[in-house]
Amino acid sequence: MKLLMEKTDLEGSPFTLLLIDTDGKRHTADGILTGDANRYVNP
Amino acid sequence: MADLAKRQPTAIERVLSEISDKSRTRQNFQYALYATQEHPKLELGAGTLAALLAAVIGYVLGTGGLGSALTGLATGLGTFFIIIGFIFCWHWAHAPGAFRDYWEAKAKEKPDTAAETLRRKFLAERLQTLLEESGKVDMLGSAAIGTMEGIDILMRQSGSHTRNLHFLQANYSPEIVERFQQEGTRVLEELLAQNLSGEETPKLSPAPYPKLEIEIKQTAFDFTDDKRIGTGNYSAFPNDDCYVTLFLKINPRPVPVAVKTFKLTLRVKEDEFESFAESQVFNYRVVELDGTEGGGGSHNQNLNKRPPLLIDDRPIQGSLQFILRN
Repeated sequence: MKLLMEKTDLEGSPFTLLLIDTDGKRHTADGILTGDANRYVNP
Repeated sequence: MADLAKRQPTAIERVLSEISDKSRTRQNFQYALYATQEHPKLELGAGTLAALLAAVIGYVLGTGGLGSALTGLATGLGTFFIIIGFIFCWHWAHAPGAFRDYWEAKAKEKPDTAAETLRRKFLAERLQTLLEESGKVDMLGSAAIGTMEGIDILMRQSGSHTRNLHFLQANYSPEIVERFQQEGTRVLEELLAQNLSGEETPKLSPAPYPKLEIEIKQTAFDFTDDKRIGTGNYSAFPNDDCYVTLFLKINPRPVPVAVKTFKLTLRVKEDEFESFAESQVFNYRVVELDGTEGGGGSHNQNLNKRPPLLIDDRPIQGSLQFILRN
């Protein structure tokens, strides 16, 4: 599978972040991809 | 020696082992029959004595004829069978089975309601007292650190918490104690409500597993600059990988937890990409001419470090980076 996409395709794409702890429990957070790295300012 | 050491079966065990029909009612009946036959001399002696005594009494007190003697004998025989019937019923009632189980079950069904009521009343009063006390110390607010007033407030709050904890440890299950440590006085409120509603044994719903509250504060994405194929990093070079950087804040929770895996699932149009967090977070990523991967501007708050990230009673902020490869 190739990432044949523009940055504009990525902008606004939904994602899910999954955290798995040492007890095997799963924690999730959903988000939307916004802002490319060129505009990112390190907090 | 082995035979001596072997335990001899009791009379009941011996009788039960001889009964082929194992249904409970018939087993009890046959047990009573066996047990009654175990002492025939007693029944026979008692029955014969009662019959003869009744015949003599009937002859003496009656008209003195044969009829009186026969009447007395019939009375004696009746008494004899009554005695046997009594002995049989006595053994049946004491059979190791249905009767005993029945009465024991009945006894369990009827707890000591007076004691239960007293216990419930005691728990309700204590819960109310503890809740009132907790409410008072909570209203005092935050302590001004370094002042005598602040120290006093802190000590009172700590003392209230300790009393609540000790009360729950003494009267409730460890699960409820754990919930109190996670959820605080809300558990006391719940216990009091259940107590007043008349539930015999306080049962709390199982504690939901405390989820981590993950706040995604910022996202960034770009394409890896693969120096082997040029300087571009856009779709004109489809072999380039996309990397996504997330900046998170994970809120604290009462019970510490270690996070060992971070996984990102990104959906772009009809496609879905999955990736696990990288060991380093760069401001930009490159692939050198010799094929080694690296980057610049390494972020020092990478959450994907070893040992696993530990989250306890303080919030954690940091970053994660994921490479979405072709």
